[in-house]
Amino acid sequence: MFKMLGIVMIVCSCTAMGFLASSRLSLRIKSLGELIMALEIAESEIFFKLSPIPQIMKSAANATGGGVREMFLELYQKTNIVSSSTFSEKWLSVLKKSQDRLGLSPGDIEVLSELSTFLGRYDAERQTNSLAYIRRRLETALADAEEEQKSKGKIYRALGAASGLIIAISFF
Amino acid sequence: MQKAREVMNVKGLESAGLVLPEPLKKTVFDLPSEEKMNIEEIRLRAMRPATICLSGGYERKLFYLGQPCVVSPNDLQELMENATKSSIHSYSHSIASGFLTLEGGHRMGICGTCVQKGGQIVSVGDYSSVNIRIAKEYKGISDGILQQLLSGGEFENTLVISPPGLGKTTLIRDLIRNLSTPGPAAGQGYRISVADERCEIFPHKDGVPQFDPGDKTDVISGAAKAEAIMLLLRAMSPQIIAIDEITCTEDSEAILAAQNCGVRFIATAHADHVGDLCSREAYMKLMSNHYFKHIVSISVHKGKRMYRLQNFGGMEHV
Repeated sequence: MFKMLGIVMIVCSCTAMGFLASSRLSLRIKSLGELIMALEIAESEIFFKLSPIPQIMKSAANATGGGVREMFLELYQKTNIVSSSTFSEKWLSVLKKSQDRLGLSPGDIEVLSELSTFLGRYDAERQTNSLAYIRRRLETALADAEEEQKSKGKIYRALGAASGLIIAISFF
Repeated sequence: MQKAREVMNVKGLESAGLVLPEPLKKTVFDLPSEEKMNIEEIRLRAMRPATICLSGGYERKLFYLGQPCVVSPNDLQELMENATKSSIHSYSHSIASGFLTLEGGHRMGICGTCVQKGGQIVSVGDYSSVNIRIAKEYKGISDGILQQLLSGGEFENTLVISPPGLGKTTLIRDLIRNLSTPGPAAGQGYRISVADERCEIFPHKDGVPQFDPGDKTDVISGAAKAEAIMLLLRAMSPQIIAIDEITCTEDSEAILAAQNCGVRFIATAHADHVGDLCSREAYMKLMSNHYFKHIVSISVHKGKRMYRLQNFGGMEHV
């Protein structure tokens, strides 16, 4: 009886791990999509309205969902008060904190970190150009992530269940 | 009244000081109250000690832990970041004009390296000096002269003169508030339009006025005075137009043109006395025509501001 229960648990947990790996790919795709939308909003806010950074963070939070929304809400709260840390420091610390929650790869984080070098520091034209450049790189990352999900998503799920079964059979 | 003003001065200084980098902020906040309430400006110059300018024109260095607070270029960068909430692009027009308006209506003058495009300054970078001027709102300071600016219940053209830093803008701000608010002196209150070229009379922060402009006051900021006067005449049909600092002949011509529409003016000028103005081209026509019926000159006597009202009939009130 206990042996049977153990086998079921092994199969279930291995399958869950496979699904977890697959869902992480989906989360990255969702987050990249939301981030691209947020950058589009930032470009428009700067280009058309010359909005200050806190307002941009708020608009980005309002237009997105999930972890990306939470990230921009936190940035809005941090940038809307005068403090001894710079925008660059605030951006990098919130980004680091959000990495897991958003399922982003180290490469995605590196691209997003570059925002801290220009956002809020230069004139509107230069900032919108740089934002567009970052957005294009995220779009490329999104296309890669979608490709990865197509090729690996099913494999992860199948591998999870299969490895569970193999372990169970070897015990049996 | 005096106590309330002192508290207001200290509060004003503390709201302006919020943008300062550490340890400058702590140094300013830790100053004794009697000094804080007399601070008119905080001046920061790269690689030089920070200073405060006190009422009466005295400027002294700030010290932190016994050493002069020397300002680094990074301090100025941090100050700009705080003042713009990390959004230089949102204030680029204002920075290109050499100033920023802080929360609380304080004015921050900026010096640095100007960037020009097509012969126009479009930005300032490599900040080298900053001057934070503490804005003050003293409600009621114009009460004593208000009645005398009205003849038969009608407001007459008035010019406020003084050397720099004696409170012309503070007085004109209160005059506008008083005149546009219904009351015993102003009757139903005048419809006043303010051409606030340097956003100094009624500064706003993110659309919120930082001082009480009165009930019937409309403010246009950032536009050249001569243009703004014409725009206000067309759009707002004011009874009185208020401007800070007549600086060129275009301004005085716009004032004279507006005269034909029956509009009255309140203006200010940097001058020690009326004679100073008569020799300046920008004022010649206005002064020779006795355009301003009242001249209010501000002076300081034993630390107190005195308002002297000179009517162009020769009468004087102090």
